[in-house]
Amino acid sequence: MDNKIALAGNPNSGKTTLFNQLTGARAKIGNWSGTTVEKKEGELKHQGKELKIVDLPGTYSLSAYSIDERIARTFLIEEKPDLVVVIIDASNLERNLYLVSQLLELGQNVLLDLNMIDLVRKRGIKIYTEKLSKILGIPVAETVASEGEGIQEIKDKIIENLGNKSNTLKIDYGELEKSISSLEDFLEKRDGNIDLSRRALAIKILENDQDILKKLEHSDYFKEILEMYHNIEAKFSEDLETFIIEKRYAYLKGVVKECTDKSFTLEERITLSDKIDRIVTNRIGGIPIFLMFMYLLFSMVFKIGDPLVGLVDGFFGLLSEKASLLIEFLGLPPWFASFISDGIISGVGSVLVFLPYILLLFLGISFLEDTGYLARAAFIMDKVMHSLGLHGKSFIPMLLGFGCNIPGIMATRTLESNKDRILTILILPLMSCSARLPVYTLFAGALFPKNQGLVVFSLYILGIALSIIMAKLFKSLFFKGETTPLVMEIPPYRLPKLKNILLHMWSKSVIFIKKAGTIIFIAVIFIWALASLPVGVEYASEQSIIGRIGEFLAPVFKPAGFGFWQAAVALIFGILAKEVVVGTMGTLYGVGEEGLSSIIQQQFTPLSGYAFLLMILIYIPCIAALATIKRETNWKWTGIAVFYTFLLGWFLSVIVYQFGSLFIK
Amino acid sequence: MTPLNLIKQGKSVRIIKIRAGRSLSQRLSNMGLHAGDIVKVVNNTSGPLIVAKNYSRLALGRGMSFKIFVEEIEDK
Repeated sequence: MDNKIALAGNPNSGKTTLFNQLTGARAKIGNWSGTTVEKKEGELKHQGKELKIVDLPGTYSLSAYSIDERIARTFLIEEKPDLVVVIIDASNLERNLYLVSQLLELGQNVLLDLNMIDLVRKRGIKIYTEKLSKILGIPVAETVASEGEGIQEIKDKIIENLGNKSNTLKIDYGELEKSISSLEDFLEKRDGNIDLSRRALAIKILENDQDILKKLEHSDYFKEILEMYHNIEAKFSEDLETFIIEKRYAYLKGVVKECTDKSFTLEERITLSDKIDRIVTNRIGGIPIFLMFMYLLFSMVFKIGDPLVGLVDGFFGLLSEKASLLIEFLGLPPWFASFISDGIISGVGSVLVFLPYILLLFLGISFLEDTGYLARAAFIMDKVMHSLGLHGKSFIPMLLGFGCNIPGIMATRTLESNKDRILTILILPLMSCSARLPVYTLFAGALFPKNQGLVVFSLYILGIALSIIMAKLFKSLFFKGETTPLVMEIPPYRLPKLKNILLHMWSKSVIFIKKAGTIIFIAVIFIWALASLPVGVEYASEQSIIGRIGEFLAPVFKPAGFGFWQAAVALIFGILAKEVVVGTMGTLYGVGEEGLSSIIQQQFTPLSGYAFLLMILIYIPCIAALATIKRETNWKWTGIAVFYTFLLGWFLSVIVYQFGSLFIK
Repeated sequence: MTPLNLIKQGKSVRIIKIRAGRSLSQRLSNMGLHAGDIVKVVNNTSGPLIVAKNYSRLALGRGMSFKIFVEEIEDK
């Protein structure tokens, strides 16, 4: 029999680490159905048993306010796991126990794991584990998941407590108790189709829980329930929901008091973390220190990444060469050789070439995240971002966008409000990713040999400026109203473990690799077909379908100064991956990348060249980025992203070219 | 009763009232901030604040801090 175990806990409690420890870091990653929230499943083999472990989203409670909480709750109520392991930060007992109390009220079979117990011990605090276990009526384990301490013991306890019948926690709701029992009595007489105890259901109704109410909506007694609710609410002087939450906390406060020695609740002294924060989040020093870290991060990514990217690039070049030789040797038709080497290998290769950057960027980010610095970065940038109508947490995604837009788009998941998320995703493509850099350097080198650096720099700055303007515009168009204020936990600084950092890096990067194998693969084949058909034409020549499309589109770009078919085709290929523009132009002019400089000097003036670079900066995100936007939002926003970037890019390059032409002959 | 944003860095306060909409109050409460709690203002310069409750540190947007009313208490 397959037992199902759910892993729940607050963010920052070490849940991911425990999951990795229990499952050996082998996770099946998917999405919770109907959402973009990541679902992780793994297997625990212990004492000859095989258990399925489902990692629930990290939440502070089980109310129905965020997608994460709703997912966790729906899973618990509908799938009824055999055991819920709740991992909590033991140094933060009271707040963390809130989730536990809600789980117990729902009648779940809970195993409590006091994680980071070393911190508690170090601070000279004593938690009376047995007492806690007795009061709450559940087994309690102690771990230091990051060190692997207590893992064997918790595995034993998991097996031991599978399928316990849990005794539901009964919190005393004081003045409300009478109303609860009358509601319970009422519910007793009905056939409920919600798998909850009558008491839990009654409390949920009084909490005005929208999810539960919606489920009851179709029952014939829904009206009566509402009536009862309104009667109780009218009689009660306080807001019912607030009252219930406060009662729960009051209860937990009591529990914590009884199960710890005194020093626990009095502790408010300034820790080493606070001392570091005084410097790092300082009004004057905060931003410079932050910029320095970012500078270090990006120079690490590019210093180490560049040679690796060269290696990967060389590998795919060699592979495509050898593959076509092999195909020729086997006597297969030349179109097949072109399909394999021009299409699949160089297409997928052009995307995978960025893997070193992505891995290194995520390595750095995971390091900053695991030490706790990333939370500070959001804090430092909150004021600046707020004045732009964005959220402090939007900053990290935008920063990542400079490396590659895809991880940036994925990182918007940390934003709680959907509005803030979509807004950030929409402006992210304006962050000039590293794939656009080769195009900039080629053109700037050929057309502005004296001011190459300045030209490239201006494009980056322009991207940022445009993102600010577009954010304001989108906000007034689609997302009126306040930006959700920042509320986030600032975890204490920790010395991260290399193994954990690597695991985090990997789990973030794996999605990118998967994409190269699916959506990008299909797109690559499609474009290859367009460039090779009709049968017999030279690959990507003027006579091919794509050449004709280029010819057809060229007049559109005439007002921007680059109205020739090669530029249009290069832009189409650029949608595959921005850096492909360089290679495409090489193919189209039949010169290879070395001879491109002189061709560019013939075809472009500095002005039309700059207009073209503007287009490269702004126009349509690459296929991989679009696929990610679709995955994280829906077709509507993906469509908007395509249209607005194209129009904005076109308008700006036309304006620059036309206006510039007035001054430059 | 003073709004939290006016409290100097380093002072301890008791939360008297949180005047915010339901979802905001809920989020604060999820993060462990309630009326009656004693917290210490660890960072209050410009932009968001950091408050300490026991061992946890919470960053609160400045707009949020206008809605939290507190009274100063003597440091023990």
